[in-house]
Amino acid sequence: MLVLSEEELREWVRRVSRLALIEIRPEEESSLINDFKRIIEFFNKLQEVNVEGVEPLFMVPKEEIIVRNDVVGKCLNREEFMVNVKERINGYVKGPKIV
Amino acid sequence: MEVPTLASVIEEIRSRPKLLTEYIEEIYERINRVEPILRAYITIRPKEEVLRDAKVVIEKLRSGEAGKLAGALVAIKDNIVTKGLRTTCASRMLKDFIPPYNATVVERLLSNDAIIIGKTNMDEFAMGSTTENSAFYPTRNPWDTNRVPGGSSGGSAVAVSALEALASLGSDTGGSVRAPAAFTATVGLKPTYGLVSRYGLIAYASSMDQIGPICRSVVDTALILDVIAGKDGKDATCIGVRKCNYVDEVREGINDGVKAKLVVIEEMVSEGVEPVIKASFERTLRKLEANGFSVSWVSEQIIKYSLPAYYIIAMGEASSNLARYDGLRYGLHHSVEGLSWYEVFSKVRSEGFGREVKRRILVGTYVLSAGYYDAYYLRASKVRRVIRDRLKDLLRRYDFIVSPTMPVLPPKLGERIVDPLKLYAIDVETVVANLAGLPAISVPSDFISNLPVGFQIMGDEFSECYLLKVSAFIESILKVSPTAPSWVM
Repeated sequence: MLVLSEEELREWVRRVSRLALIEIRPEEESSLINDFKRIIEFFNKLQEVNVEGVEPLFMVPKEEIIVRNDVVGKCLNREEFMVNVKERINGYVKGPKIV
Repeated sequence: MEVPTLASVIEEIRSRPKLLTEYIEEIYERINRVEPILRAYITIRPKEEVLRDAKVVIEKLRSGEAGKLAGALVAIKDNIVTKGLRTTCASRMLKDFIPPYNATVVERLLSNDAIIIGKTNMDEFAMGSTTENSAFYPTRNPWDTNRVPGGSSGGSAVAVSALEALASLGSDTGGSVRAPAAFTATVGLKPTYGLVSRYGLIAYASSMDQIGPICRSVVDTALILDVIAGKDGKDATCIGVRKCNYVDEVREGINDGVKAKLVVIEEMVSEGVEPVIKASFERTLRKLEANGFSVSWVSEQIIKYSLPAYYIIAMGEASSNLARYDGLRYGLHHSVEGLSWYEVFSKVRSEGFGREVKRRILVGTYVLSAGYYDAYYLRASKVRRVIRDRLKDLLRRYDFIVSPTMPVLPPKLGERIVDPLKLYAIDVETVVANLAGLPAISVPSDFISNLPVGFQIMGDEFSECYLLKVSAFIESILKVSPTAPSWVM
């Protein structure tokens, strides 16, 4: 069983918020921690199941894998797919500074 | 007044094309009247535009070139992209998003001469079971406007149930087509994973997402499935195995009847199922037995674990899928000037996502993170394998697994949303089909105090021909659908 202390939960919420790039406002924190605690407890129910030797199933298996032929086809033109871009620079998407 | 169905309107319009204009006028009149109360739509196309589309269809009908869905006035869930028509996912993140292309299902509807009326409300990014989690407004249930219509495809179900469209498309990751169908007395089908293309469906949990029709009858459902099912080069998981003409199968089921071996999993009708629902379900089973169906009961302990397994997998996949929203290429935007990438992305994501979406991304990030992956995501995926194996085994011995679609009557607004676990609990009957990739349909089976109840039928992979045939026969025995609340007529 994975049971986390209040402090561990708080620490964990901060870590996950950084990984997911979602800021948690101070006033949201305590209700979020409470929700997490209960959701994780609900997930812990799975620890009761014996899954030794079971292969995980990530996708429902299919007999055939469909792969498209690698040929040039029609696709959206630049103006069409740039229609939702709000900040551009020389026809490119402008992003924040990385370094 | 008799409730019109997609099938009846299509047939009528074939001989009298001009009627299409009248149907459109009637639908817009009704939308003006009921929409202020129900709020099924997020975006409604201007009537003039729709009438222009109708002119083209009427011409085609007259020259005999019309497609299979000429006359179909459809509503599309707002997580399925429509070229040039705003698609929001009911999120602030995408509130101004204009897709530059159509989803494959939309292309197929349009090339068969269906006409889109609008885009329907939903739980944000399809995360929810009540359609209260919309960034715009909640949708109300036309059978009792103090109650939720189910979700996440609540707008699509209400549009059909309240006669604001003839048919609609929803998406179903853990029951999002079947739940609102059950709560609004409509028919909702989640096809086998891989029967219908997901190209253009905004992803929630890709290994379980599937687009499905919501209609007023089983034959209508078959009409839509017939057009949207089938291989698509743009979705590698869509193998689209199609073994029949679905509409022919349905007609055969209604005319000749069909015998089938049904099985009930005890764990699906015990914990958390309201006594009135269980009693109604048993009454339905007796009616079916009286019409030649056999019903067996079995116990499958593993089913008790389907809900946590589902939520671990769904949240894990969601956290990965929703990582794409950074506000640069589309969606809510924040100026990049003078800020680091971390600041820009965090700002956009914190402002753009609603509470439940954030919760699922954060928990999903946790179950995938180093140190916890084995205990949660990997373990859930192993439980998923066991569930699928057990269900496949049952379906070798029986034709269909049946259950109530929802364990409760439609809750009042605000009743479930306050507590995430109470909200997740109502998906207990529906998630198994998504975990196992199986097709499942909800057929209206009863009314309790004027509130709709649905009956769920789950079949083997790619058994939609047989599933729809049996569903049509069951519908003809139960005689609940097609129906609509009298105040909307």
